[in-house]
Amino acid sequence: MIELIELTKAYGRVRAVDGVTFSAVPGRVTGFLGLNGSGKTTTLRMLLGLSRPTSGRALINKVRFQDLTDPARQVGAVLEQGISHPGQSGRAHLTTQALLIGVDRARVEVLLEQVGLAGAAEQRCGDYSLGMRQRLSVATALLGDPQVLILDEPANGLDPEGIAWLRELLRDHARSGGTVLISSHLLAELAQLIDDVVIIAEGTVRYAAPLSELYGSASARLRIRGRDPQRLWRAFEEAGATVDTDGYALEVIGLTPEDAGDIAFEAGVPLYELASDAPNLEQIFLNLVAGDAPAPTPVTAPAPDPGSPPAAELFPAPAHLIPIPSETPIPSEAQPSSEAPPSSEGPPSSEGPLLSEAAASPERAASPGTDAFSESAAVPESAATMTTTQEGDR
Amino acid sequence: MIAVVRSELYRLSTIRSSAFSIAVFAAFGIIFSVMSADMWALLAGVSAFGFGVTGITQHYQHRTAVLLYLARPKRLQVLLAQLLTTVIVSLGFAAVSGVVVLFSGDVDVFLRTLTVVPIMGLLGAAMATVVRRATPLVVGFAVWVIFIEAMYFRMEQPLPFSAYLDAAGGNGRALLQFLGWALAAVVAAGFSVRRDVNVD
Repeated sequence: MIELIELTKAYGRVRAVDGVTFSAVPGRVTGFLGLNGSGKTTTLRMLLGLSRPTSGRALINKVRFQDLTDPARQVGAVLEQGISHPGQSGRAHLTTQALLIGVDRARVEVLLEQVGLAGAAEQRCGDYSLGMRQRLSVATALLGDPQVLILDEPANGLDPEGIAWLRELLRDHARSGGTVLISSHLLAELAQLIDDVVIIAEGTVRYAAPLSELYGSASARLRIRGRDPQRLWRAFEEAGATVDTDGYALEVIGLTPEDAGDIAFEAGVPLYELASDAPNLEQIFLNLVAGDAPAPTPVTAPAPDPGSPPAAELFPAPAHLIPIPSETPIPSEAQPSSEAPPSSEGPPSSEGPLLSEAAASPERAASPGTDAFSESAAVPESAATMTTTQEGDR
Repeated sequence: MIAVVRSELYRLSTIRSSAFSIAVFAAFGIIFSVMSADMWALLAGVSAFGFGVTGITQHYQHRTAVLLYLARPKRLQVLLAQLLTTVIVSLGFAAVSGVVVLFSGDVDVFLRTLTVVPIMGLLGAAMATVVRRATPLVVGFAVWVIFIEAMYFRMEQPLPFSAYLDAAGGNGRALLQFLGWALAAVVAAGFSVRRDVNVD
């Protein structure tokens, strides 16, 4: 278990890390995210006893790293990009570390095999690619078979295969009860790996919670295009969804693709496109680190505006659009109603005009959802394993 | 501490440039010892200083100090182990390269050199722990010896290198002075080793 309590590092008047508080628990992978220069590496260095905190505490298994008995058997760390002496072979590097921490040399061969460097074991580390050096770093971290793994930007230099390998390795480690803390400046890079997320910006924690809550706060959005967007809009809203438009397709929040398809079917509106956009985690992340950026959560649909442009202007029929053949079977109960002619060709409707993106923006900015990711609201109370420090606490 | 010493010795032997440097200096030492016992003694001292400096600064240059302190966070113990490693390497180097001196009958010179060389290694390693970078340290020490000790004080003051030369010449008082300089450097290193390790 890793616990950081009000951890602070100041260089003169500059606080590189300011009151950072969070935990990483066994059995879970915790992502530590922040842009370059946000304080991630400084925090990890304090956690690992490489630099001294100005104040606060960093504990691993309830004690400071420096006070751990046989630390390499409890904590494995990957820092920066493949630390090794360029004049040593990979095997010699690992053997040096094995002698240092007192593990059997036989483990060196096992790890070389495990990280895929057995064939390059006698090659000088200086001749290794960045990805090979990262693999060597991971092997170094695993030498003592530690329960806690701390990795600083470990995916740097790894190819997609290497990233997939590392992801599986870390997931296995967490599944077997290990604690994993991994830093990155890319949320998307870790999205498939981490269970919990801690986001740091300008030295302070902006968000700490299970990743599922971050996902949950940014519902999946459906992108839907059909023959009669106005009718679809109404049908989706009546089903409780939030609907918006980018001027070309409807953006629907709050429905599953299956529900949306069924609703369109029942409304008798043929669909030309139905796609599910995953929550844009990168945008969420950027908004969180920006602190004052608008929320990425989709907002309530704008109220109908009689003066808005006609739907035909907002939904021009694309030249590449393939019309549905007349013989396409459409169930009788789902036949398009004569009350709602295809909007791409029909006259503007006064009942459900679609707002342009520009018209929707003020509403979006003012919506209740806007503050969902603001700094003060960023920490869900339900984050049982996480605690964060707010500005006012310091 | 023994684990650190074993690891450091293994590391030294498997870094090709380090192993090559020791072999080359040993060869020069043997050649020098054939020419003059005093020249061999001087080379042995300078080499020991170099081994002490590079043994420490390589860890900072290649950031392996991070791995060292992650494995052994009690830095004073690591420092003591590194100093012991330097003593072992310096003694081994002097003993091997000075075989000709020993068998040519200059037993006193051989033994005196074997006494002062490890202290010179300690001085180099301790100063390297403080400075952490080889080039500024070696250049700075060379400038100090040439311009301050040699040209200004004419090697007549009990300063580090002057004391080393006098100690190597059999001056017991100079040996104590030299040992004092080395211990002062070790104490400074003891405080300095606790500084933050930058991985950037």
